Amino acid sequence: MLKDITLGQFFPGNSIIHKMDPRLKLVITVLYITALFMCHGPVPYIILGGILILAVALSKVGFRQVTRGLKPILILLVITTLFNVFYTNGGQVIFSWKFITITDYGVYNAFYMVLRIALLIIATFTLLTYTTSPIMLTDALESVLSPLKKIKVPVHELAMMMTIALRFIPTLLEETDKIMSAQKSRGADFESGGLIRRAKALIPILIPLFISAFRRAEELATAMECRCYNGGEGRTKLRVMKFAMRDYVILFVSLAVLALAIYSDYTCTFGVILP
Amino acid sequence: MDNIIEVLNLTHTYGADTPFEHTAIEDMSFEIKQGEILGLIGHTGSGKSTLIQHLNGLLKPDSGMVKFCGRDIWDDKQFTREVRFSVGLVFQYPEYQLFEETVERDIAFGPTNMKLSEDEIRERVLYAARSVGLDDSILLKSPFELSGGQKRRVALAGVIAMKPKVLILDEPTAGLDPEGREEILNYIKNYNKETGATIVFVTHSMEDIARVVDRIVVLEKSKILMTGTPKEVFSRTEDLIRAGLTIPVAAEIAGKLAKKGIPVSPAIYTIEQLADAISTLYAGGGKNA
Amino acid sequence: MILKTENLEYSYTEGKPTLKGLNIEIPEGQYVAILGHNGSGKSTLLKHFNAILLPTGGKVYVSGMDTSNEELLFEIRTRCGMVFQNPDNQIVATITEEDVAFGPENLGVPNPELRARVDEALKTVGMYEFRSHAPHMLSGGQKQRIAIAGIIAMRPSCIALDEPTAMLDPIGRRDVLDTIAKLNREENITVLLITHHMEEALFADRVIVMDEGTVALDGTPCEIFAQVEKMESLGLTVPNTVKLMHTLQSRGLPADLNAVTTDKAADFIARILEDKIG
Repeated sequence: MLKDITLGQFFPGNSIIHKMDPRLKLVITVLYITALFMCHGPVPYIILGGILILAVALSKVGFRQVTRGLKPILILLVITTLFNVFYTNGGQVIFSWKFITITDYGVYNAFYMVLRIALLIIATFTLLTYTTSPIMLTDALESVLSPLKKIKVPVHELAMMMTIALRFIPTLLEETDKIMSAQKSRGADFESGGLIRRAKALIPILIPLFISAFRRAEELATAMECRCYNGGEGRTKLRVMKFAMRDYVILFVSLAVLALAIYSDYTCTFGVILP
Repeated sequence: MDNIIEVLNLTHTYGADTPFEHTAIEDMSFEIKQGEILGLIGHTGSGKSTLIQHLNGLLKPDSGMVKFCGRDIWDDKQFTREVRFSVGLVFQYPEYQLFEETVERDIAFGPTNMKLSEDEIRERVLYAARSVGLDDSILLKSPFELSGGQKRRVALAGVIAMKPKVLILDEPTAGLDPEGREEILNYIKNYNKETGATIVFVTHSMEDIARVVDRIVVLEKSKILMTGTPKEVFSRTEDLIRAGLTIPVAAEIAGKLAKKGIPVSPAIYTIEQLADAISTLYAGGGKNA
Repeated sequence: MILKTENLEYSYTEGKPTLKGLNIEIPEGQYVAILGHNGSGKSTLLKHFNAILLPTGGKVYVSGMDTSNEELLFEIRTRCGMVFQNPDNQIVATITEEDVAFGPENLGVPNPELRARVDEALKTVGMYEFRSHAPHMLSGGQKQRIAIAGIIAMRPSCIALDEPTAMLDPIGRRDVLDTIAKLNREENITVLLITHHMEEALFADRVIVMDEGTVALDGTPCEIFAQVEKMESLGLTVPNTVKLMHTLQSRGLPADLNAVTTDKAADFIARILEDKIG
């Protein structure tokens, strides 16, 4: 069922990671990802991996949930591996058969690319979606991007759109499920036939879904109007984001660790030089 | 009477092996008899929706079996597809599933999927539209121009056009005004009378359907709480209330009278029955009823 | 009078008026149920009380404020809040308490008052323990109570509800009705309730029956439901308790058309039977 999708799910909790200022989480995640792409050798990755394991442990979401989050991108990881293994030139040949050549360099590249993607996904999950409610994430984005308001970027409106989209994703997924069941009950067949037939078979789902989405949008707009919504001007917020002492400490520690990782990358590359 | 549908030890679990695991139906067995009007009653989350989706093969049992006319509906692919058409399922708020440009084409969706001839489809569309009181002039209109009550009837016609032997309706009167509720119930009763089709009403409110049904199956927390005639079921008002269900006003008043020591039958569930009982008591000086 | 209409007319399409010159006055603190078949103009009327619709003829006043005065728009909407039929389509936020805060946030209510209002509203509707839940995980009745909390956090003196129970199961329906009754009783909030379930109108102080854009009947629930034939001619019914009394009456038995609750009906019947026995 569509409802079973856990990607991007929020697990409420009370851990130190949950309590971090969402803006801080956002900034650290971006810095972490930057560091991931700057580093190559084993030492920086041990540092980067280590701090992530610590973060996952602190978040109390559970390692099972974290690895579960990797499942949907497994196919991406496999493709990345194959691509790197077969299409990287240079380095020492360790296997060769007909037109297939595998070099140590390719294996090395594949290994780091997969590690990089996996760490990237885990970091965004633990630090962001698993431990931050979507609304806080949106607030954080709005706040971090707010300087852009000066150059007329509609930051508040974008954040509001994101909130509403997040709010209605489960509702619309449930609705899609229902409409599919109803049309199947009238003999609709979504599983057989060629591409064109299958695309055509989606019409009885898409049209009711669009109509319903528009109806919901209209009703929601009325309801928001009734509750005096008038854009971001003069709005207050229930949840005021405040940088606590703890957040400064976390920021300092994180910056230190990331700097260490990047520094170690320059000093010890274990003899392999990358382009 | 023969059993048209048999449910045998049916179990269904959602999201197995995830933190969201939930058993919607647990070891459930009952039968639906040919030609009867059955009320399937239960509170939200009692497993009603999951159950009915097993009856026309939308969901596959995790264990147990659903039999249609004595044969497992998952016996072979062809049969499963036949059952899909023989057991018509009308979901809650079915008007939200309309999609065609005209009412006629929307009603024809089911029969077209059955691969019937043009003439047969046309004939069935007219039949279905008339059986829910839709005027022929409406057939060429867009379903989206119609009123809420009319849309509901178009959606109902879309299932009736498949001429199902069993018609299952999930809260068919939800959100309608009193007149609209009464009309829908009458069209469905007529379909039962005219074609001899079996009807299953799925609902959490008994007031509307108490007078219509022959038999009731009450669900509570993924299991069957009780089965019986309306008389049998409504005489157990306390169990029903405990299961989060409302009972017909007549049954409620009868229960209150019984508590006051007035000898009214606990099996009363319609206003007429209650008025009869009171009249008899009144005429007979309160001795027997 | 908290709400008042003067010759209120409204047409969605010109020449086809949906409301035909309504004059309605609703005093502060009254609980009013509005009945009528589909298309009788109930919802259109309700939408005038917080200026979602503006009259095409006549006037509407909320606490004396003319709804067509644009400068008073937010004042009017704060004074008279609105709850709709589909709970899913009026919840904006992904966390319960954030949604309740939406209205006061728009009004610019600062913390800590904002927090206090949200908590209080959630407690009033009995949903405080669900404050950090995601709304889509709640039942229909719970969602509808969140929607009500979102309105009362704006501190209105009037709340207008358009078929709030239509999509709910019996338990959800009862919880929502209890909440509405409590708001009326304890907070003295004026209530306008549209419903298709006649039984729900029994809780009201007053029932207004609409038909073809006019007020067909206006009175206490007992007065209205005593007119069984009239109600049926308007495409409506009467509560089953009244139906019972009416049936008894037609058979020449004593009947009390004011005994509209099951308790009152049972008491009355017990009494007439005991009188007969002596």
